[in-house]
Amino acid sequence: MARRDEPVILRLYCAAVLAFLSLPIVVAVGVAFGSDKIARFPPAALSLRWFGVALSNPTFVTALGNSVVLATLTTLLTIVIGLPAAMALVRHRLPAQGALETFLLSPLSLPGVLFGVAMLFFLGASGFGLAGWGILAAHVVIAVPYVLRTTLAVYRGLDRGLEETAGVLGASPWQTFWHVTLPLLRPGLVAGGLFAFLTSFDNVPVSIFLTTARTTTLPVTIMSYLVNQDFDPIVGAISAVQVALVLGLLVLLDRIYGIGQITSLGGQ
Amino acid sequence: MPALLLTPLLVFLLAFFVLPFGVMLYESLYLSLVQNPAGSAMTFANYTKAFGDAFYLRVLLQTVALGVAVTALALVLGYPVAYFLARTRSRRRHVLLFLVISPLVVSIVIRSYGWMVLLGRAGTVNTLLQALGLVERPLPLMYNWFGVVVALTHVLLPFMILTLASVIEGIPESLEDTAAVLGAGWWSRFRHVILPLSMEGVGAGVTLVFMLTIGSFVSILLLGGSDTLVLPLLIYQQITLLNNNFAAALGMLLLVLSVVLLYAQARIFRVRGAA
Repeated sequence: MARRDEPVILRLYCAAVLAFLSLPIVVAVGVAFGSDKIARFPPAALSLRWFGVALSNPTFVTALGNSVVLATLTTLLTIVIGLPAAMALVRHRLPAQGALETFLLSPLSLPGVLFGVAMLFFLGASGFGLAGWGILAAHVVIAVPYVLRTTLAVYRGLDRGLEETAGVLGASPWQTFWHVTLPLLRPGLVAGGLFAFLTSFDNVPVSIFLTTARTTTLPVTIMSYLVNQDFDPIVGAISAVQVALVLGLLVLLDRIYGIGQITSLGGQ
Repeated sequence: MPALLLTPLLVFLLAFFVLPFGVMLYESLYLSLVQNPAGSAMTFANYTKAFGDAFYLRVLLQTVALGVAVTALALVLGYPVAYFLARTRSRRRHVLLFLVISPLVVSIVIRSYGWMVLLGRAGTVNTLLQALGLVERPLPLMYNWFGVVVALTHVLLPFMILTLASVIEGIPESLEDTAAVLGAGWWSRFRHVILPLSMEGVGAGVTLVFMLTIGSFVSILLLGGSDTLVLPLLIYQQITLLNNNFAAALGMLLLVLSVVLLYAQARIFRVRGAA
């Protein structure tokens, strides 16, 4: 087979584009380690004081707490309703299967602002107003396609014979599910669950319409802080922590699932 | 049994996804009580307002223009990377893939903040340009279209790269090898083999990125200015002004646009699947 080396110019081009992709993240994190009152990159002098300032800011701490609770509940709920649906879609012939799947995955594709506004109207019309469950329901809607998609992908790749063998050997459907199917689906559930968590934890366009001062989330709080053009590195400190956590999770995801699988790019 | 498994999700989405859009449609067909305190007749007034006013038409045009600009940039920047990612046998492929995906999991607010630090009046770029003596006064790099296009291209580039790469990966390498054996240089191989065979990927990537651009909100709110008004921001603005019914009509407009694009994208992938 002819060995074709990529031209040097292609490598350079790719390196430049990848640098562009990493740049704002590096900057947002780097700013956190400055000592100035004004966010600057690269920082003139190094300091960790903005981490302390961020941690002692009650607005951000409350918002962080809200975000963690909301994202956790969202993840649990998406798995509880997403997993059974994925099983039904894979193991049974359903009428209009393709259309059904497209519909179930569609919250993924619609602009967040659009759904946020629609949910705002809905909660207004329902008479409940901006109750906490409203934003939870909205987050489950936008997060559930991730669980559905990863679980579907893993389930479709499973050998159906394993479940049938368990049945033949006398396992009840519940035993088969608990001891055979569920452990085999775990990578899909973990990956989908992590994406569901991140979706909820990072969301602004839906949350911004549905939160109140009491239920505000971390990204919405940061957003209004930035809109008011407060440029101190406090947001940098929060960014640094969040980026560290998220990239840590991504590495974890890669270990258990393979990064190529997540993106449907094979060839590990 | 399958119905039982599917019911919770289906009911949930009907109640909290479909119904909200139903309420939005309903709201869009009525005038607000302020505009029309007495009557409750159904009307298309909110829609004719959106299409009949030069200001709102310009917002629509700007939305489409922004979509075209960001999509074109993402395609030009992303295609070579997608090709490299799909074809390289380098051990660093894994690292490359990680670099492409990682921005996707970092909050858009944080990424926008990074751009704000870079593009501000006293930001990194302006400081650098002034230190090099290239400009005398800081350039206006944000709170305008430039900042919006840079930030949005950054947000949407990974989607373009991943869509293209998954299609290019499916093109048999033997075709390129054959072309090479027959004496085609890399440009010729790209122009006559890879590009034509990856057109479905281009179609899918372009539709996806265009759709995501015209629905974008956070980057534009943070890096845009008073003149960078696009449909999602207009909707947000009308909500804050309590013009809910007009916002609902604008929302329906964006919904129709998105669903059409979604359908187009599904069609492209179905054609590819059938081929």
